[in-house]
Amino acid sequence: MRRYFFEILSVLLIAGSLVFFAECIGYLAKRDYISSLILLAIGLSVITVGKELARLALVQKE
Amino acid sequence: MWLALVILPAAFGGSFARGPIYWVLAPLPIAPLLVGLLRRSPRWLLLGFPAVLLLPAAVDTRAIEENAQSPFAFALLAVGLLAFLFGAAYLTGFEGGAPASPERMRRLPAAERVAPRWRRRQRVYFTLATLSGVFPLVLVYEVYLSPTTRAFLHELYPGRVGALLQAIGVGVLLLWGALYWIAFLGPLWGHRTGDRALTRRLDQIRQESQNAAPRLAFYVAVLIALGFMGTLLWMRLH
Repeated sequence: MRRYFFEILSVLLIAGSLVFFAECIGYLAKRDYISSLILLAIGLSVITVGKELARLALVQKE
Repeated sequence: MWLALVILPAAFGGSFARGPIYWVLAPLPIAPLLVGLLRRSPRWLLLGFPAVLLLPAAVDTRAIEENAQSPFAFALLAVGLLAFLFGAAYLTGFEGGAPASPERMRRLPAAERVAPRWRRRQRVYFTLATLSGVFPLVLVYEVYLSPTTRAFLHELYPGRVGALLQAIGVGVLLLWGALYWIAFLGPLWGHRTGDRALTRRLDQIRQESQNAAPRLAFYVAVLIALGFMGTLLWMRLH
């Protein structure tokens, strides 16, 4: 049960990080470089959290 | 590097006339360089010296601007940087200083002098070391110094060349970092099979991968994400 929870959460977070990267490109187009850098950092952090949860799901699977 | 980045631009650009602060900061990088050389310390040589070297440049940014615009100054700085990196690698390559001299030596027969696989390895190492110097130099030259790129940018993005060059510079830095990690360091990892530090690291990774609790990176990433989301909200509201 816990494994599926981690898997769903990791997929959601990794997919969610793409939204931040897309927003980052949008802010770059508006030449708001500070906001785009902040969004890039948020995207990278969210993808890191997703990656860690995917690892936990693999550990649960084994 | 010290001459090209601090002394020569200051001498010809008049930075010494700006005030006593430059007289204090200009000779300062020599101190961490000497400490690093005497102690053969990677931290002093590769972190302390470059960090202090940037202090005079931070006070008077014209030094960097001149180096970025003149191909001769750029070439001088590039050669100095490569020589410094090779020198630092040689000096810090042996744990605890210079290699101990052997008690006795025996010459190998001519046929066994260097095995073909070691000759192949040496060729690969030499090629990788050379290319890791050539790649960033070519990238930086093409972006900042090539007349063709300049003309192309002025034609397509009039009035925005400075901002665009900064963005491309960051892109070049990221591209080179990824290339170096994947294409240069990547093949070398497989060759370090007898490396104690590497086998220790592999054991650590194996243990960490079996750990059912989140690692430190998880908590740090959560804090960073929440912190930056809060910052973004604060920027929108104020």
